[in-house]
Amino acid sequence: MNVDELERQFIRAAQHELGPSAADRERNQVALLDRLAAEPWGGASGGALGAGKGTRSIGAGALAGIVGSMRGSRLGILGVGLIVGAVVGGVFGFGLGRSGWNAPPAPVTDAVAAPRAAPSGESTAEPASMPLEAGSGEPDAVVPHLAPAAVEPSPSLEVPTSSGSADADAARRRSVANAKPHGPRRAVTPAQPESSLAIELAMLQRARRALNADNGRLALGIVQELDERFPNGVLVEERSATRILSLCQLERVAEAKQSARAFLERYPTSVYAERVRQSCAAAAPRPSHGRAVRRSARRASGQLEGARHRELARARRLDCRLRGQRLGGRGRAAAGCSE
Amino acid sequence: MAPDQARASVPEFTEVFRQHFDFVWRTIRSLGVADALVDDAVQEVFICVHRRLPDFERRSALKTWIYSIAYHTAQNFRRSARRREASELDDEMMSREPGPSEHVAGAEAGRFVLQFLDRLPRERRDVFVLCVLEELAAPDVAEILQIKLNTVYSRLRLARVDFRTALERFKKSDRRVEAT
Repeated sequence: MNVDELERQFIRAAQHELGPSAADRERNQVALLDRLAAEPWGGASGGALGAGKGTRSIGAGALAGIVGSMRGSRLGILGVGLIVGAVVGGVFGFGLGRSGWNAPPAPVTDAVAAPRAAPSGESTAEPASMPLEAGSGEPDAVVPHLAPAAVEPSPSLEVPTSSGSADADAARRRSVANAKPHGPRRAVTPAQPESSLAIELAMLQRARRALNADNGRLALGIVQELDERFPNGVLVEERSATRILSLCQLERVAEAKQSARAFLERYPTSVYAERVRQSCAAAAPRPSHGRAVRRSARRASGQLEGARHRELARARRLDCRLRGQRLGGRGRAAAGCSE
Repeated sequence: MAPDQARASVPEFTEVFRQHFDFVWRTIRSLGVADALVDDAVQEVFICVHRRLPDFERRSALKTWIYSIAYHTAQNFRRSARRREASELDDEMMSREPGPSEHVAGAEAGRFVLQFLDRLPRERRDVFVLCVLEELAAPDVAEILQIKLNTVYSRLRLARVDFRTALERFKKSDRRVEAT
């Protein structure tokens, strides 16, 4: 074989080999859905996504566009299943079933802190690899979302949407209906507790992913945005741990130590405590065994667990409702939902 | 163009995603983004496309416009990552003898091309990826990279020479393996 032929063969093979697999496509489609829904600007250009006639709330339009596009493929089931099923799994990941950072990783976004790039490249992530724990190597999965209503209201919520085929339009409407338990008006109402949790969780997972990618700056930026958006969030403990590790990665040791001290005082029995102690904040004191500290720890832990239980119960209720809508009694029964 | 007409001419995001995902994915990989970050980079591209699609003015082809976004996104991603994992893979690749060229597996060809691109000076790599792998027209490439058309041609010529040299080296080592 001469070099010309070899060149052509290699180019053809490379064009094929460098392309995505079906799994790559599906994974990214679902993750993109999540990211568009989770970002505060999620529906800012939703007109391009929504295919219905007239106007439609942007968040729903954006979701409907992609979820609708899933229809007809097994991704359709996957998409709705993830939106529904990941609720409980995600909450467990960070909540009751916490075994560290084992919740599925979410894509890193630069929406918070990463510097903007030149004209059209809007984003950046400057990663490497610094796995926190075993979970870091897991394949991408979808960040849990409770419903399209999870999209926080954007400044301009109603946009005209381009027209599409009646079938596609109907499909999108069905998708919205399936994924949105509270009716079409919900997307324009202020964020509900469920949606706050979903967004909080998604952002936290992005922060974790950024940390894994050695992008402490982005992780810290996300944590700071979490502080602003959810000052009384449910996942404050995880957030605090992420902040400390981010500070360490940025070599802001003094701040890391200060945060670590506060963290260990507040969450002395946290599953992240050891991780925090092993970080650059290693000098942070181990909690004393004084009665006051123990009482404070019990109180903090109890409050946190109480909040988690409430969120979990809410997530379960929503899961049951969505399963009921999608699969009927069989789905509810399979999920252990009571009638 | 009237606003309504302009809006009507904007393609739907889902369609854009469906039609251009493979292209974006391939581009991001070819442009040196580490494997572990390809998902993130591809999603960033589409998020940017989503944001900007309503303002897309059709001054260039949609594919060119998307490529431009992908190109800048890839630049951002590879700036600091610099394919750490890939460098390890690179060493591994270099220490491995290639198989018979007549039976070059697609995966091996893909790795070879990625490895070649890794070593190519960035200016030549960009042009090679765009012109050869993505088969974009030279004027489009000039627009994306913001360089003169003649520069595109000259970089492409040099990149092709490099590619051919690498292939010849590969072929020689292949014969050596076959002879043993």
